[in-house]
Amino acid sequence: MRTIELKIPSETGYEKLAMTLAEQCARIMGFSDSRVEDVKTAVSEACINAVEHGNASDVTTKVFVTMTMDDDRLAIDVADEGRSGPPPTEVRTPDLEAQFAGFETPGGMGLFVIKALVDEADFVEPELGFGSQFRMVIHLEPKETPA
Amino acid sequence: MSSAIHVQIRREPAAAVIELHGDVNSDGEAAVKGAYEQVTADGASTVLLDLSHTQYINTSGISVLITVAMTAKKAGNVILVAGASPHYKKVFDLVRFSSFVTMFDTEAEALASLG
Repeated sequence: MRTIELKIPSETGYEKLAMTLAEQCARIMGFSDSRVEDVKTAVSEACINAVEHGNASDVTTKVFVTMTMDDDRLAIDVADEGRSGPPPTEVRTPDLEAQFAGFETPGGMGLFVIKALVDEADFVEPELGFGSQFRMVIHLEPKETPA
Repeated sequence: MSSAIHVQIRREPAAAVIELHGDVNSDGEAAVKGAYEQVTADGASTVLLDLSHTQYINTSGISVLITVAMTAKKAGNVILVAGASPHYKKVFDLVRFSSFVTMFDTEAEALASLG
């Protein structure tokens, strides 16, 4: 097991550092190009959620990203400092009909997209002792063995 | 850290083309909406958003695209989207954005569809 940690400012744009790191981890582990793209988008959305919701865009706070590489899975934890209360308990499916009809403001898609792209995704007990911690797990596909 | 979005506008016979360069995120809202308003003010009723020059789209950026598509629909205009990578096409399918606008692999295919 190998662990890599990254601490980024609570400003949108820095999620791309986490994306780059996640991409490298996923490539080292042998994920397919398609899965690498899934991982990058999931990490990006989790970091943006941590910045905008968890840390309420408070620039004095940080987002903590931990990547844990096991033989057959990559776990990515994204933790915030909890400036805006507890995390959501359910993931809403975005209602584009309502958004197109003007009944809802476009948005609220991040968690939904993450859950669709990775194998496991949920809030876990924060190891920092405060804030929120969101864990994503992506399993390495079984490699094809030569005939 | 963001690669700020910039737009390039071209007028093709069948549609106005808005090329999005850089990151498509919430920071790009004013630029994308402004480009749409500019081309429709100039008389375009069909607008093609070309995503082939962008490497990064997040869900805030998708919300920007949805907002522009909503604005177009209310005005009776047509929005086409072209050039999204296979990954972002998958994400558009997930959030069902692709159910509300017509997607094409390339700008050429989109323009050809307009006859």
